[in-house]
Amino acid sequence: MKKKDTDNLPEVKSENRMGRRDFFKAGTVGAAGTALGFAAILSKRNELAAKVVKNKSIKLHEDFPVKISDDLKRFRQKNTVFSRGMWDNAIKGDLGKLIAFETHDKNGWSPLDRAISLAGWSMEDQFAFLSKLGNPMTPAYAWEGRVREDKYKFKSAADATKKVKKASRFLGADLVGISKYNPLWGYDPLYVLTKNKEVPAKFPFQPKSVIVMAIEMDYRTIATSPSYISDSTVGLCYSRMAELANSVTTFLRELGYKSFGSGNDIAMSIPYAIEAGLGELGRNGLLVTYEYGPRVRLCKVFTELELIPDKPISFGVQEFCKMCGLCAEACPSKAIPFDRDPTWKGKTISNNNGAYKWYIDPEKCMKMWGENDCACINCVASCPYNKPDMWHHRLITGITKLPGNPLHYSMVKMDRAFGFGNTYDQKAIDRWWDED
Amino acid sequence: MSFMWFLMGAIVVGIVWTIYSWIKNNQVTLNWPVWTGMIIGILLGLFCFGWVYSSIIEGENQSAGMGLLVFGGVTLIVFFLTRKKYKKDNLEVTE
Repeated sequence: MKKKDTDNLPEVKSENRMGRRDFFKAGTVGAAGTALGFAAILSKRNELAAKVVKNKSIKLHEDFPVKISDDLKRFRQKNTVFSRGMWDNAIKGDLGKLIAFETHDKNGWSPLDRAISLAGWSMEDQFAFLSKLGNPMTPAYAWEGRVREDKYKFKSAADATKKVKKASRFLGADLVGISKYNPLWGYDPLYVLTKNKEVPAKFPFQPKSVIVMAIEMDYRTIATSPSYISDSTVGLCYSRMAELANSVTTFLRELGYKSFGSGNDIAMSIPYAIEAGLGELGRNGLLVTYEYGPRVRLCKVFTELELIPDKPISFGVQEFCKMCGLCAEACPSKAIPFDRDPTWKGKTISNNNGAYKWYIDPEKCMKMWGENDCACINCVASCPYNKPDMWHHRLITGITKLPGNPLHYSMVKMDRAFGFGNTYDQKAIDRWWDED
Repeated sequence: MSFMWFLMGAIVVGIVWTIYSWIKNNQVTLNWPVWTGMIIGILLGLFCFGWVYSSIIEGENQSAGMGLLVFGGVTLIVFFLTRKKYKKDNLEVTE
């Protein structure tokens, strides 16, 4: 038997060996780390962290955060650019081209792309015909319907608000907020497009509250703007608006409360959404939400049920918009102003003067839609707030709340450098049908 | 996304253990500028990892690449400066 040569074994330095104490320390740290990791997976810590970041980023207001003057009046609906497409010869041609749905031999405007667009619009066309242009009293948004005689007694207004919001989210709202009924945001007189007739804004009951709901449009589909493909998510969300508003209306009527829904008709959705705390007003004239930016569609339900209104919010959008202007650059018709500061007056009869905001030129916008053969949504696609709801985008949104022009300027440049906000992106259009 | 947080947790544990072992085995004393530089560098590195991972998940490859360049580059600069500070302090001590 060979004897082991123990003299020539390599010397093991004692300080490099892991002793029992070190082993237990390592094990404890490792176990703690693993437990933390599993805690992140198994618990709702991510959602809680997201909530904490959101609450820190958002400021609540007591009053309406957009300055308004005495010049602001209820708007005559006949003067919206959509309504003018019915009677104003300057706009008729553009609207006519838009609803002709012509196709071209180009990805994004092919018969296949037109088909998906019209498929998205199908429910809106069937049950809320022309409500996208403001036509009131369509079947999905009917003012009257069966209402249970016995009113359900909620424990309190807070309880009613909580249950209504839960029902709205369950029925399809991505965001929901409550506003008091404010006649200033309503059109008067209303304009029935199909009859080319004005009617007074007299509802069958006096609404007390307005439930405002936002539906998220698909991020990757919006990235194909302007094309029939991007129009498909717009149309799909209009169809969902009709279903959602009708469902929430039915929910409330089944509890004995008179209610009716609204899309683009009856009243302006954006100021109601601001009142309801869903977001801020952006340079592009749209609601910019914390979660999805301007990539939402809005509908509302007017009800006699008294609910607790939410407070308007801000999270730095107005200040950021002053420095940004990417939507104005991306707008093909230059309908969005480049001015640094908002103004009190718009340029056309389709603007409702009296609010301190950036006024878009809806005539230029409509003209471009007609030339494009379908609606454009570049102002949404190009907005830096238009991001998927992921932690790193929410963190950046939180940072935009910090003041400072150099910071905002560099964030605007970084947004483009990192590849976000492209429009006329032929690659996005080409790969859309191949993505899952 | 949960897997990303789990990975980050594991990376943090690994880094903490490595630093602890290095300090213990080499009987090193670090001053506060070096500690600060190390912690900032680690946090930046974790942020870079998270940004790249999340961008790849959401299909934004340009964002992932730019994130690696910008945040990774800043991380390297911070580590470089920290190392330089540590070496300078050590050199003064041995003199």
